[in-house]
Amino acid sequence: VSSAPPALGRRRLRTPVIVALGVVTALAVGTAVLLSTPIVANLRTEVMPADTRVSVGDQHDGWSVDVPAGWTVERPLLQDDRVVLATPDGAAEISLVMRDLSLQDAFAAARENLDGEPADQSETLASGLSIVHAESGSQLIAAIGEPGGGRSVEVSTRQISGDAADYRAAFATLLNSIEVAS
Amino acid sequence: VKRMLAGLAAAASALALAGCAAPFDPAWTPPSWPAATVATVTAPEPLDAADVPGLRGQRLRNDTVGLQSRVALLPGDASVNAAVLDEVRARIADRASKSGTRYRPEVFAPGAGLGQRDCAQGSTLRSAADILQDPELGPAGGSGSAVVCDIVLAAGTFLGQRIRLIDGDAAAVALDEVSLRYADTATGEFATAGDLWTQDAPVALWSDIVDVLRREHGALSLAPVRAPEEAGLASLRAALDTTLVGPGGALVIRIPAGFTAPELVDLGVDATTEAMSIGIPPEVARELLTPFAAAMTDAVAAGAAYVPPPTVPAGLETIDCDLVPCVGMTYDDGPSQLTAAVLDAAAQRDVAVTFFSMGQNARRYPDLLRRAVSEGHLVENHTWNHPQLTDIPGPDVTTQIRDTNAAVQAATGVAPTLFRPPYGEYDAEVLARAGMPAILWDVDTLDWEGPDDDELIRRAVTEPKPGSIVLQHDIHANTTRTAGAVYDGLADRGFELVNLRQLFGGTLPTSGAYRSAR
Repeated sequence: VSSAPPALGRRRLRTPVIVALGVVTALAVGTAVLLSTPIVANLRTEVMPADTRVSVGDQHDGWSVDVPAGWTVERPLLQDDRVVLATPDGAAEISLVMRDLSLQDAFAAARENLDGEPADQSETLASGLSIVHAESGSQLIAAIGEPGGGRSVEVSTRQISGDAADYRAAFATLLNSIEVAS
Repeated sequence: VKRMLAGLAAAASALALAGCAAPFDPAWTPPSWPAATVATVTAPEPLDAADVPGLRGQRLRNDTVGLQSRVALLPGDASVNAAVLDEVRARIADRASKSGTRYRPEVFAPGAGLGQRDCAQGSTLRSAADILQDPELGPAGGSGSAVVCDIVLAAGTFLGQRIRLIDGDAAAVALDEVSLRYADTATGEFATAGDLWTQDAPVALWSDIVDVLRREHGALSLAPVRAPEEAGLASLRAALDTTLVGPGGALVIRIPAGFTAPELVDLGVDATTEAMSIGIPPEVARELLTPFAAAMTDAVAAGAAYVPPPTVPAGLETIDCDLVPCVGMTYDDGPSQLTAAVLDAAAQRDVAVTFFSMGQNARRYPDLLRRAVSEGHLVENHTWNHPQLTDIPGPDVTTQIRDTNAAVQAATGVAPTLFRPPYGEYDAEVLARAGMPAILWDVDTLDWEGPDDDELIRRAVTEPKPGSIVLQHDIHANTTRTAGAVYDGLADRGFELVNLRQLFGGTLPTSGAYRSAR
């Protein structure tokens, strides 16, 4: 009378364990869900220790850009056609995405995300590629490629803090270094 | 259970730590654009000519051909003066041709206001229509030509003048040209603004200017600016012809409206609709400048005070009395104790006159005559003691002339080459015995009659015409007292007061008799 049978005792012990495991699993899943995006992003982010030529895609249909030391290069998960580069102070980002579009079509696509109707501007970059760009507020969008070509790099910037005008020269240096595999 | 919980916590921590965001550097400073070599600036303002010592303002008004002109001249026969005056003469020739009239120097009624002869500060920057319609600057009625000037640089031994030539009327401007000349007053060397630059300058500056402009209009390209085409080069050469030197020795050029470049067209930038000033720092400009220009910019950069060339007495200046209306003021019968007042009045106004001195007075006041000659005036012969030469024996005429020449030469070191017969009386024998031309007058103010000062001034100011020889006497207090007012009044009418050598075109006659230089 004073003690329970052994089988019943094991059952009584297993129940709290299962409950605890359930709670822990739920907590772990919740935590993973909460942390997965930045964690995965951060796991795919690298701070350039020196000036580096960063290639995106393969040698046949990829492109590359010179990234100065201290800049952060993020390669989004499962999106190997793009990089997001952040300035060393974290105040501004520039997103570069390869598009299978002509220069004008890539620019039109980029422009859909731009407020207002700023004038388009066309130039020839130091690389010899053409750029079409427009700016609204602190945001710059652009497309870079060969005129008449079928592939272009779509560009958009995001200013997190500070004055966007102070970062134009830095972004211009990046854009002038872009080369597209032909 | 505890071990499981600890394991899960450790795994979560490791995962979190592994995915920590990259450390940012808040001290990082974004890079700047490649340093601009030039910049859009505000052009330096012209100087007030009144603050620049040693300048000789020349102002012409001629209603017959339709012209008013102001230019600044350097003392003496500076080579740059000839270049400046050639521009004025060319404008006169054009106006004479258009009006079908012959140019002769003109003067105007008292109150014409032509005594103010300095460059009108900022006049070269006004609109052409404004200049033409301004009575102080433009032709009478606003139709014809205007020549206006500004002093744009005065540093060390360097002086810069901008001259603007305009022709037109209220309806249209037919001509509007600007020229800039810089002179080294120490060496006599001068250069136009365009001559300050080497041949490489237009192409080099083109690249710098387009780069600055494209950056101002949002360019992202770092590609080198393409070489200019001929039209672009021509516009830049025109801009170099406007070169000014600003504070610190920076060169400033004015690029006319209509400037464009392929890079700017690509950016959607229209050709400029207004002129713009571009500043080029001295360190950038240096390798593109001639040695003359480099020395000039150095003087400006050093803040060197202007050192004018040595002054030249008014009577030793080269005056073209076919261009400007001249009048010869002459003073008989002196010198006297009153002569100094005439010399003072002339010195204060930087004008030249002629004295016909009597020999006996020359011997008494040699210092006054010496001063007169040293200040550029002429001292000529008015006989020893003022006889009527036609009434005395021929040998006495000879003695009168000879002894006076000797006395004047003894006082001044310069022998007279002209004589004025007392009372204006002479005949062929007098002329022959004098051996010098007789200089009479066409305006007699009758100062010896003792008119009141206003009347004397009125006669002396209103009666002369260009080329006139005016008779006064430096032995009467009313004459010497009013000398300054007379000079001012004549200048106000547009006259240049000159000695007789200047009045006769720089070379005195050697025989004959003259009442005027017309």
